[in-house]
Amino acid sequence: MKTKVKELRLQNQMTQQQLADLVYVSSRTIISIEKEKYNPSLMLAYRLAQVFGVSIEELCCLKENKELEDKQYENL
Amino acid sequence: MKIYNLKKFAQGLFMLALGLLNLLFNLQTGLNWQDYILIGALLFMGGRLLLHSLSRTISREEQLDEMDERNQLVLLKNKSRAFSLLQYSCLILAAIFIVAGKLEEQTNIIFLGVGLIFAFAISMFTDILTFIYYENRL
Repeated sequence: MKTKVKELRLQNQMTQQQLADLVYVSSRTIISIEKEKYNPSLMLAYRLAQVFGVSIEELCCLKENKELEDKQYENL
Repeated sequence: MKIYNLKKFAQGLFMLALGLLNLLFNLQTGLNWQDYILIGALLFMGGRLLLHSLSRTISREEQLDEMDERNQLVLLKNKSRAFSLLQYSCLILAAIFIVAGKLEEQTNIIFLGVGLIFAFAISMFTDILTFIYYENRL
């Protein structure tokens, strides 16, 4: 799933380890989220959104991702 | 001195005790190089676990790693895939053993194949039971 984690982390001049420490996960989790290999849980998304001061909807590009998912369902 | 990870502390103590008992027993009967490796590994791992369980920062890091949601998913997927691979391996090996046993007319090899099919059947049964359990719980 596409997210804005990397973009917001770089805007806030944070390292992956610093962000990981703030949300109590390993830096590998942050790396996987940034590479779109892992979808964060609702609670982790909320923690990340709080760190960056944005909504979960904005952080996780929910509108964009929903549209993509909708297309997949329509093609079934 | 405070113990931050009781489970690791107990594991460390157990390994150290096992290493020391091995050392004492082997001192009486005579040591060879395999014993040195085993005792060395037990004492090293036991000591390491004890030190980790007594360190606040290391214990915290290890607990965070255990609680990390991605790590939990990786463990879950890993176990699930390993189980599937084991099931397929059992079936393939069973077929090979039964065919080889028939061709060579060796009943022992056929029994090995039958044993593997039995293991596969148990794994299927376990699979169904755990599926019913989680289907009702989640």
